[in-house]
Amino acid sequence: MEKTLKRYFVIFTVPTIIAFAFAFIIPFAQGLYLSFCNFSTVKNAKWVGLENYKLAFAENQGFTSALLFTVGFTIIAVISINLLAFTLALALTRKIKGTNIFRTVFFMPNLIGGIVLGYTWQQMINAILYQFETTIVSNAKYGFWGLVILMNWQMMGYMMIIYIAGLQNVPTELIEAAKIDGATSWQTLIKVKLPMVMSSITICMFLTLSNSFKLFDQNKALTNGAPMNKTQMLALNIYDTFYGKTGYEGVGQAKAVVFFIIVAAVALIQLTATRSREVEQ
Amino acid sequence: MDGAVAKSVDEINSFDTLKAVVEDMQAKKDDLGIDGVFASTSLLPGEDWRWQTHLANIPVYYELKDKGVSDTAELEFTYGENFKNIFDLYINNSTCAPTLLGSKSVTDSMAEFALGQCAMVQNGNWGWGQISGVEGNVVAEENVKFMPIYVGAPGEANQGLCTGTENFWCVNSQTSEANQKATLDFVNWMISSDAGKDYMVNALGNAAPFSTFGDDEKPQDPLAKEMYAYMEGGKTAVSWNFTIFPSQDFKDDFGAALLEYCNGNMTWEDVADTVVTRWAEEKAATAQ
Amino acid sequence: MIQNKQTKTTNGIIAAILVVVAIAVLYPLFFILNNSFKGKFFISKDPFSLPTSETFSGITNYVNGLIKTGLLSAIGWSFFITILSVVLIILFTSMTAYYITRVKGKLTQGLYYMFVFSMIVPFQMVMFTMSSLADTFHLKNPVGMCVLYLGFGAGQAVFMFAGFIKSVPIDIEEAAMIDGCTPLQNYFKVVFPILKPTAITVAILEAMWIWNDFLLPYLVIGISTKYKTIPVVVQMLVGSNGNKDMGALMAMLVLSIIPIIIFYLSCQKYIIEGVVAGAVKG
Repeated sequence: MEKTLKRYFVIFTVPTIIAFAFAFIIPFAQGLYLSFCNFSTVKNAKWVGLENYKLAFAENQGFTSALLFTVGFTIIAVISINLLAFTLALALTRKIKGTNIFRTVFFMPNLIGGIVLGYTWQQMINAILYQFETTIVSNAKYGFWGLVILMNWQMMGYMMIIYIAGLQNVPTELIEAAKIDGATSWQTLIKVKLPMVMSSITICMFLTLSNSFKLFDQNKALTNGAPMNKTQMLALNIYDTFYGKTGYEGVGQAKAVVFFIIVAAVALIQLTATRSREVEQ
Repeated sequence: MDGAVAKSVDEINSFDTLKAVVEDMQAKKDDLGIDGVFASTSLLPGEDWRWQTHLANIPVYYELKDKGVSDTAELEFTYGENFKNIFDLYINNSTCAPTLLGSKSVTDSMAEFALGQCAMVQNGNWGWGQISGVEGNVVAEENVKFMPIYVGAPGEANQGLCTGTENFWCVNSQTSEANQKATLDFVNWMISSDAGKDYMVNALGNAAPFSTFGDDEKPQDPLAKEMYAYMEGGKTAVSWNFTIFPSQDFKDDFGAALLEYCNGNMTWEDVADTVVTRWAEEKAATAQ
Repeated sequence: MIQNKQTKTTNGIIAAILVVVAIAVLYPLFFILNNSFKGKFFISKDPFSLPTSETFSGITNYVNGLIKTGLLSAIGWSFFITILSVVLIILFTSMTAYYITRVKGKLTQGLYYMFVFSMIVPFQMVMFTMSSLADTFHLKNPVGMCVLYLGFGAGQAVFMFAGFIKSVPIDIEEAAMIDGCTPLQNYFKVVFPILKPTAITVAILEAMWIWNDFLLPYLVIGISTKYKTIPVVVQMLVGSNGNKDMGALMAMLVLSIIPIIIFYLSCQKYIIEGVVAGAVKG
């Protein structure tokens, strides 16, 4: 059968490959090359070696501070979202009345787009801060915590659903056995349920980690980096380098390459770490 | 009103007088029925162009005039204190506290003026539409006037309004000759045909500086009339120089610094420092 | 399991807490809905109260917002681009995934790894070069956008389809082929029906991404054409120089969210199942 299928290579793969080439392969390769060049359009590039990379980390580029902000934000977001989502999942697997309605409500924020979400929360937070005679852009900590709250609001329902599925897959015999052995609910949770839902934890951590680290739309809408770029995350920093200034396109592309390497590294580390702890069902 | 510092606007022809009048009015704002003298100094990111471009033009104008040049690679910001004077006056005598300015937009400021919540707002003749278009507008056409922005510069008694242009029509040098000719034809049509001139004067409210426009082809809104009065009144206009500002990035950083200053997170020295440093950096970066 | 009294009380408390959380979750939506009915200058002064007779402005904000942004047309374009992209993605990537799973070899393996690799690359890495390419190849229109979405979304889609196909026994297909089916007939008559659940999952995940996507349409189609999508139009309302209409913004945020809520409430079951399936496969 394989031999016959092989003759249909073109129909089965070529459309996808062409689109993939246009949208990914060529831009990626070009981007990589251009990160070593000085350019303003793709056509007038001049090779400058590692200079863009050195410039990227210069103080007035804000790349390192954006990196610190992003890392800090990601750590807090990942922990808070997963804790919240898991707790909610535990609550919603207890056969309480109205579980379905709660599930519907908690998941809904996830469907709303980043830009719309960012502006909605900007208005809300400013409305609250107005009572204290201040605004969201008066201090970086407002922007930081605003993003954390927003991220939790948006992601906790999604992660909760995944955890619910994971919890529902824990064999009831194990829980029964633990009860008979005299384990408290807490011990059952830690020793029996948690190891069994490790694969859900892997996936949830991966999703929250990559979504938080790569965050753009919500960052742009909520504060656009203000005040003085102190709430600017990596993706926004790269965008501003390309489109908010003139003459730094090469540096922007270099930053994008570094960004990509960091994201890939973090994802790989996280996946290997949690995968190794998964228990076979 | 009794105890007013100045009896009529004509008496205000210096920063010191302006300051005295404004502070007096702000103290008596309840009696005057306003929330503050000045409309809020909008510093929402993206809405700060009245300060980092138009207001900033004044110290730059005077410094360039002192040095007798039309451009400079390094700005010393010698008139920085003057900028601070007028800026402080704005933010301390306004409809809201300085810490709230990060959420105010230009629309908010113009609306405050239109609804009679304040007595003064900084903007140009293009702002008339934003005043007249506000629902519940209480400002009558004959009551809107211009006043020069005094900053305490030498010879300010003769200082007029800031005028100039920052928009230019361009012909694309990289396109075909036919396209270039079409562009020039269009531009000529725009300023000499009846339909074109109607657009410019009436639909766009432009005070067109071209010789093809007669005296009766001027915008009729109250601010435009005021502007012509000043231009013909013999005062020295402050020319627009922000076309030589180094870059948008510079202006954005200036605006961001002003926001931090209002939030109490930055001293004026740091703001002035930012201005000088960023000007030099951006001039070097964009040097052709 | 019979609930004893203690569990019942605990559950009662938990339920009460959940209600509070649910209200907190829904509040932001109520906030913008509430303010969309107030006159635009009254919003910042008093954003939490209900509209009074003085501040109530009926549907003025909605009308103003619609005129200013052309949101209705943007909704149309968002629909068009999302639906066409999803159709293209499901059709072509499933076929590709099928091919590279069934045909062994260095080439197909290499392709597979490239697709997976693309899932990790952040958009910023390719945004500048991609929009430049789009310009050169006349892709700066809705149909071109769909091609780009097919290309950029192929990674995740192929990954998910391939994952599923691997677990489908090859016997049925071989039987069909012996019966005289061409690979194409075999694919559409035998394989694709089996793939349906995965196809639904992929469709939902991709649709959620494309509908809400901001940067790609912003950079490729931009704000000066008539093909703007919803996120672009909302951004324009806020980013415009000089005339920021708070009331219109509230109204447009509400209108942007309504199609999503309708879609969600009607397809809830599929969406949630799809999301879980997608996560588990990953």
